[in-house]
Amino acid sequence: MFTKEQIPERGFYTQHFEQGKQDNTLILNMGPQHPSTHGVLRVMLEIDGEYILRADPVLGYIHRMHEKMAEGKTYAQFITNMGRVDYLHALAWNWAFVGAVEKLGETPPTPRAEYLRVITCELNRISSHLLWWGAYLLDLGAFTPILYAFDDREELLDILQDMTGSRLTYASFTFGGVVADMSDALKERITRFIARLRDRLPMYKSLVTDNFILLGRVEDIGHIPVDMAVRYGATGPVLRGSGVAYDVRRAEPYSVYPDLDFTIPTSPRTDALGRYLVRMQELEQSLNIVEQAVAQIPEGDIQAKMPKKPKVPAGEVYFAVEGARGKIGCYLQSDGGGSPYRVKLRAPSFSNLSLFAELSQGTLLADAVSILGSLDLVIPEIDR
Amino acid sequence: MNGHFLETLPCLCSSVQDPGRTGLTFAVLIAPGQVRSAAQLCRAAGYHLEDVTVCEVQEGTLAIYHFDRFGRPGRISCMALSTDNAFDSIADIFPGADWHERECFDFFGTTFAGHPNLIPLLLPPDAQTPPLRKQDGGKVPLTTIFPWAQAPATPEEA
Repeated sequence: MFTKEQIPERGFYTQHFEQGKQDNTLILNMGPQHPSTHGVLRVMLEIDGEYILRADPVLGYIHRMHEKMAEGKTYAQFITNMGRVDYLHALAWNWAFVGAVEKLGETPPTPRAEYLRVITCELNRISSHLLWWGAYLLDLGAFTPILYAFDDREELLDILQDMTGSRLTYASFTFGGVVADMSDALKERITRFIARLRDRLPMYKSLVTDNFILLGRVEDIGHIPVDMAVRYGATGPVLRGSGVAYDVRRAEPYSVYPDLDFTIPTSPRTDALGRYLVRMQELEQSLNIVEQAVAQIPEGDIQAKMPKKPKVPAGEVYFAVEGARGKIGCYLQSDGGGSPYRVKLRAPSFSNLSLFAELSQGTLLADAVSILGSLDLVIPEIDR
Repeated sequence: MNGHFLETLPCLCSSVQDPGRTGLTFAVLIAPGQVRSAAQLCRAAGYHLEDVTVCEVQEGTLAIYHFDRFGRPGRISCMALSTDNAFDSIADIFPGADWHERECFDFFGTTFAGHPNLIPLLLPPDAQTPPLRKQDGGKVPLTTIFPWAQAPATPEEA
């Protein structure tokens, strides 16, 4: 299909680097096996001393063609793929696909299932943010925090394992409900976990957030003005770190989020610290949401009565949810058959990373590592 | 009102949508030559680009641009139908479109005139067949998925 002229011969995989480098500069290949790229992301850099003249991410190292798989599977079979797009917030992806099918088929889940979805999805968001926190600080040279973060996360994964059946690649949402209920013992454990993390967060603040060594690495680094976020379609904490209170849970309310009391943390700073602070506050907000949901959850079925193979009428639907990294969108087209006609997965990291080339220009190489970490990338989600 | 400013373009057809049913507030089908004008109107109205995607129907290739905005949310879908699998790039208006268009080039072989760097993004550079192209028998008519849309009767009209 691609003509010979379209294939770059010198193997840089990006035409921006085809012309080679200027005198006195160096082309540096960062990744795809670099620890600070969090997976298999490759960034081509041209540097002048320690400063970046231009950068170009090279994608596709973990591309799996989920959208093609969707067209060859039944609707129910494709749910398991959704646990593998963003392995850190898999339940949000579950929700995006299941929600799209439910919306097109007009088969809403039961009220109890809605609450169970909120509880598991928010716990999953906390585990994602905790891992980001530990890994980001590891990128910046602080080793201890990730041990604390994983200590908390371990308890969380145990809870999620009991609620969903898996520890990482969750696929526990079904059309019209969820696969497993929450026992009273589990309710108790969730309450204990909320108290435990609330107890630890002030320590994290005094140990890390207020630490001037951290501030030196994140303050005034990687400024994303709102206009840049609009041009690239950045969402999630990257956008809220630039002061825009945009959250899909409020902007396009879904499930029972309108009944729950929580705020959308923002920071007017626009730099890496702004994004850091937003995520730390989101941990508290997610705890609030889980606490309310556990208190308010109604009794009832966890699964609406539905045929095993959902009947999805012909048409199109776009269902968006707020993932840990931003707006997750599932655009689904159906021709009325047993498999989707076309599925488009909108990954928030994809748009968030696309601004990196512009953002990193002129910064120090060490700061680019801090910027990449502050974007909170999950590469399988970008490559899909 | 969401998206009605797009009707200043010579629209082929447009439709007010119910966000509770489709997740969209407004959908419009325009001629492929109008894609850049539509993007400029959206940019001026404060919208951001959510994604660009392509799908194939019996009448040709459909490029779908989803726009939304942070201030007063409401997703609009802007579609263009091409018979030769080619569109104009909007990467200079929305730099975020750069990668989305490259992804469409990967998956469907769709070309975007004026794109600064139209080379494979996710697939290897020596990939042979765009994987999401459908066989002729597998395509459905435009109106199956978009009941509100009317395909242009003749290529001249498009």
